[in-house]
Amino acid sequence: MQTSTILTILELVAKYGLPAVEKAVAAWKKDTITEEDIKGLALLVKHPDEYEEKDNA
Amino acid sequence: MPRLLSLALMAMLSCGLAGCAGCAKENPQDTLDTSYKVLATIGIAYDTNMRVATELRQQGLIPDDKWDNFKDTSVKAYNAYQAACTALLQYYNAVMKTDGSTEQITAYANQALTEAQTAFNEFITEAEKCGIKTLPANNDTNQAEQPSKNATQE
Repeated sequence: MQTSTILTILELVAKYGLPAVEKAVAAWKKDTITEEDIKGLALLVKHPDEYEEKDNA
Repeated sequence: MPRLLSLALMAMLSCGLAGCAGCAKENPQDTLDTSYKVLATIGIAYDTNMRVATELRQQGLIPDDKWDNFKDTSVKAYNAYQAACTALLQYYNAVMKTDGSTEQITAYANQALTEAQTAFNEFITEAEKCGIKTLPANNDTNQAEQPSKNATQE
């Protein structure tokens, strides 16, 4: 792995947090995409209103 | 202030959709893999942007006019993303579960992915106007070492 790649990953972790970067890396490391994987995509995001509701709760 | 999306992420998105432009000629599994990864990256980036933007809004750092525009584009991005997910699932079912022609569903899925990318780009543009900065497209080492120049909160 190149140094620049490692630095980019570290930068991403610092900015987005480890969970987001782990999710992205896990998605790109998948060898074979299944039907369940595709169905899971829809659950990655929430409607904009839900972010506000969650934070107001 | 966190900067959202890196050159790497944007490059992934561009490469993925460029690859999908030739869906009909590619191995369907390769197309599925690439499309999935592109959508997953968009989804993760969208979610991170939304969390940060909501937090900034609650801190009073995003004025009403910018927030309204951001909210409009985020709804469009969300809808386009969900449509692309549905299209990709239909594409999966068409190429993996049937032996029939997939040209129509391929074109449909390709269009949905392109629209999701377009909506996401507009979403990112509005996020930037709210003070959520992305790395410049021609990011280099010097810029990476000086994050304050690109990550200032408006």
